[in-house]
Amino acid sequence: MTESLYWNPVLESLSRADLKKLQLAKFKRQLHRMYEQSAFYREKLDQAGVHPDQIQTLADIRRIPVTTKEELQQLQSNSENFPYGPCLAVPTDRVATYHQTSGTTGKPIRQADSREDWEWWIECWATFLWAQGFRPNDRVFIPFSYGVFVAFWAGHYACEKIGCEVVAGGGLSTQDRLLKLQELEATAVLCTPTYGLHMAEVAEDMGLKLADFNVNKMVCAGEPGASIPATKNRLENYWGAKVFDHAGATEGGAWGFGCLKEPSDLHINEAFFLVEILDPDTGEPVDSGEEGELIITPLDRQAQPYLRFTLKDMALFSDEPCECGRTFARLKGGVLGRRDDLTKVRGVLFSPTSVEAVVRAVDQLGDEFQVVVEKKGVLDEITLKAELKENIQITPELETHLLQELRLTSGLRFNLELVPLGTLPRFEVKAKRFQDLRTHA
Amino acid sequence: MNRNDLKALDQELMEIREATERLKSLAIEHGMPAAEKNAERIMACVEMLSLHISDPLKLIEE
Repeated sequence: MTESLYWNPVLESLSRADLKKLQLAKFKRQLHRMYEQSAFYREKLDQAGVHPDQIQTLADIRRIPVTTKEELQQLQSNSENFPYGPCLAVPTDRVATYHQTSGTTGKPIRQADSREDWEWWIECWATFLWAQGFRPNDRVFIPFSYGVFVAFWAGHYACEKIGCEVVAGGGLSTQDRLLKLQELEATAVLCTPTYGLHMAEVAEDMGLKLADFNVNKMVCAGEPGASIPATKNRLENYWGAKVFDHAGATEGGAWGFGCLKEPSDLHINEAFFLVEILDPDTGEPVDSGEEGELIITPLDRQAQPYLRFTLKDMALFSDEPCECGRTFARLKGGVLGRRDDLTKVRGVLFSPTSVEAVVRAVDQLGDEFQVVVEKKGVLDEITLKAELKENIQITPELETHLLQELRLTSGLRFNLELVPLGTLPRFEVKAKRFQDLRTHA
Repeated sequence: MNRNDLKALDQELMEIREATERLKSLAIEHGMPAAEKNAERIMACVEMLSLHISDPLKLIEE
């Protein structure tokens, strides 16, 4: 018997029509369960005048109002039913794990998961780790203390479920992690793209070449970097490893993954999630080849479930077949940006992600950068602070090239501050590279 | 994997589910948390197996 390329060959190769049938059946089951067990959703559905029996098609689902992060923040700020508020849909003795969001966009959301939910998290991660080539002979190094954040915990136990050997690399300095990684000859790493780049920089300072290590694959989570071609190229060059992205959210679950054949795209795990990709203006589903906003419903989550949660991520939908054989739809080029991150500078809509693509594509620049927007008089001023690699001098050609690329990508005229390597802050988990000082005025 | 293969897996799964439920009840009856809590862990895995096996089987059998 040859080894399966798929974690579940049945679910991952269902016809598109059968996948939709499965999603509808699971959505209806979940909706009935939530109407019975979640005080929050019963009230929300009643207020919207929607009864679960009225949802008979995938189009009917759009009658259900979306759930927003702000709504959850509001619900949990009430001291009633602390710490989860009315979001909890099971008795408290069924809660097995506590996690929370990072709070990047406001107050963190507290997330309860039951024992079944925890298995579900692990299962979602195992599905994509298997697709990315993780096998029992891998030794996986995770260079973090995972704390209250869910992603790497789920990654850890999914590796274990697959049969990999897992090394939890928390509680060490970056230098010590690198030495441990080398000593143990780990074959795979799970980390944020920011930290993957930082490890490469520290390795270079130590006279180590990561490409000579045994690592042959890396899965990035927590930030969209591994879907940005210039960042992915840097990581792959430093590490001499294949770099994959994974998309997930504490509220939504681990829903997207790059496969071995098309690692730059993200497959949606449509057997476990309903991800709607909607035109932000009309609220209608986009066609294949069009960009839309992602709304997610985890179809099997029980303790703190969500119906139509707005991820605020934008992506380009494709239902074209993938060479890997999976029938799951894809997001071309991964998540393209967050609506949350979009801000207007001098009247122009600006996405900080666009700057990352420019900086990482310029060889003379280091990996870290910052973008600062501030008010000077009545005008918005936007400045890119970036680090020059060692032995690189500022030249007018370099400055002109950078300013032109920034202008082309964002439509904005930037100020430029090129500083020596090591000047800007380093991050372990999620990087905070964008500062909008106008909001503090 | 065809319908019959999936059905065979589902049959085994049903037996495991029933056996685990019995084990948990007996553990509670005899006051053995070690057995009760391990049975609960098995049940969480049974739920996952159900998502992988029983859900697509229902779809195929419709």
